[in-house]
Amino acid sequence: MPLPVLPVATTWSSEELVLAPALRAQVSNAVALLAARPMFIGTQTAANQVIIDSTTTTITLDTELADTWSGHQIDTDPSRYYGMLPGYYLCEATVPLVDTGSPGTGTLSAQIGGVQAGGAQTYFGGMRTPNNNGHATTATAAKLMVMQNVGYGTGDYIQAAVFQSSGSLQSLTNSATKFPYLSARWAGAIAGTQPLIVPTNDAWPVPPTLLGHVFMNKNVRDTISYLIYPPVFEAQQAANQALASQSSVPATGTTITMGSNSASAISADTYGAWSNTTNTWTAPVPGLYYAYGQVGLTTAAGAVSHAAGLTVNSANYNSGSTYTIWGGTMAAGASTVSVNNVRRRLRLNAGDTIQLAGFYNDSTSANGSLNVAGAWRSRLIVVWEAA
Amino acid sequence: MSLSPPLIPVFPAGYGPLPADFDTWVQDSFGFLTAQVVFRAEQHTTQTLNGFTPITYDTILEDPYSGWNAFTGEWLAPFSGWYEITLGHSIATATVITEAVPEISGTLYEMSEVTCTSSNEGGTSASLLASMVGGIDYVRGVAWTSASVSIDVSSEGRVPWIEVSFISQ
Repeated sequence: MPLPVLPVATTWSSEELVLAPALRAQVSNAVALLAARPMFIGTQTAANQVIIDSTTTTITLDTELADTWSGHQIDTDPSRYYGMLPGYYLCEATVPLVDTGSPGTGTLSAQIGGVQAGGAQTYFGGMRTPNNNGHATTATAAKLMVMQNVGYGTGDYIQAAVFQSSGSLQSLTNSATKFPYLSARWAGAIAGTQPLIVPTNDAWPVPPTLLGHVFMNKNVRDTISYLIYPPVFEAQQAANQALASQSSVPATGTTITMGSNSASAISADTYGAWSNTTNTWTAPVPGLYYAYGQVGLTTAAGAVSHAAGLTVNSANYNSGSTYTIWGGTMAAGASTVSVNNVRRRLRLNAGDTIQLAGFYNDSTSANGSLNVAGAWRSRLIVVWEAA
Repeated sequence: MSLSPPLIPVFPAGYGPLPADFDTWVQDSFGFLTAQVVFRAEQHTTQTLNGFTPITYDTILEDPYSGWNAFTGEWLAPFSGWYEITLGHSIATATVITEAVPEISGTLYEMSEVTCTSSNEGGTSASLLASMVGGIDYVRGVAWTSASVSIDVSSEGRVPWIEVSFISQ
């Protein structure tokens, strides 16, 4: 069976005959796409790639765990996953490394890179954490990538990358339980119809009730249109902000400002859910949302620890009182770039809100400086996944 | 919950479908793709971690396919497919290393590991997209620490969590 195409849900008109070819073109195609959407999981398990100090390096993915639309070729281009269907792709990476040089010094960062919409190759930093002393360090990242020009070998592509600053060459770790990893999955179309309600999937009318165009438009056209173009959002920080030192993790963290509504800050917002005034994302429809936040800052000399959080206001959480869901604090290196992250799947009602929050502890109470340029910017991603 | 991952509807030519056929082909197909499969749980009581320690989630937020086994701490996948697991935890203040570790049918995946400090409650989160066989493979949430330390449940914003979402057939 051929691969499905990006659905274009058509409007049914009054007294239009509901014929099998139209149902196949609309329903069968959409079900085929949504049930087995483009998805890739690649790992490095055959080699231990050597990583140069303080140099962002793409990771060779020598093992495929999933590649449903054949966007990756181990033999010809093992670091790249090419987008095979236009859309937003939710990408996640994991990078493990044991610092064998001077354990406990330097940092490790996972990154996601690639080419979007035919632009220049760019790397987007994720977690950047001090190398653990005497034990592996594993950093993670998530990024929404826009695959507009598609096709293997010629289109936009996605990569996992790593940065380490141990001061010497280091090899990536791989074993049965710990290995470099990149996943990418189609999260929705780049353009579509909004706002639409979450599909209710009504039972088909039973005679003598007639099947009409209103039913078909609600339960076929709008259902397809919603599911291929759900709420998808990503913002990265684009304005300077100081993150004040706090000695203890607060119940509600300091809100991270993205800084503007420009394309440099808001890279996806299919439902117009972001307010630059309040630095708040508001759920446009109810459902289960994947949410990822990361806070990237340059620490001061007295850096102690650092955390990222998602500040949530929802009747479903904390008895309806606003609070921050923290991803856990980690140690922060002195006078360096530090990035921590958090991810959750949140059950939200329409109107519930999410803000990105940060925490930074400095022994001299100095501020951290949030990064607005380069790879390690603060980032918030929200993707609707289910009703 | 009765819906299952859909077959691609065929709409056969020369066949006079009944409303129930359309319910199977359209309503149930899009119904499953809208609702998907979700499992979410949290832990609100403290627990001591040392080495690899399964987390004893005590609050099931949603489990429409009844995959959770409170005795084993395992969530059984109802259907074959690709699922993404997200999990995380916080620990009491201590200078230790900790990992977030999704376990699938006995295999541990060490997906995030960081150093924590004695100044603030440490912790980390991770995600894993993995293939699971329906009715056979299970998920368990595990945390690893380099020394004995307690899970931190002193604040609503720091309780351990695990979430599983069906991504694709």
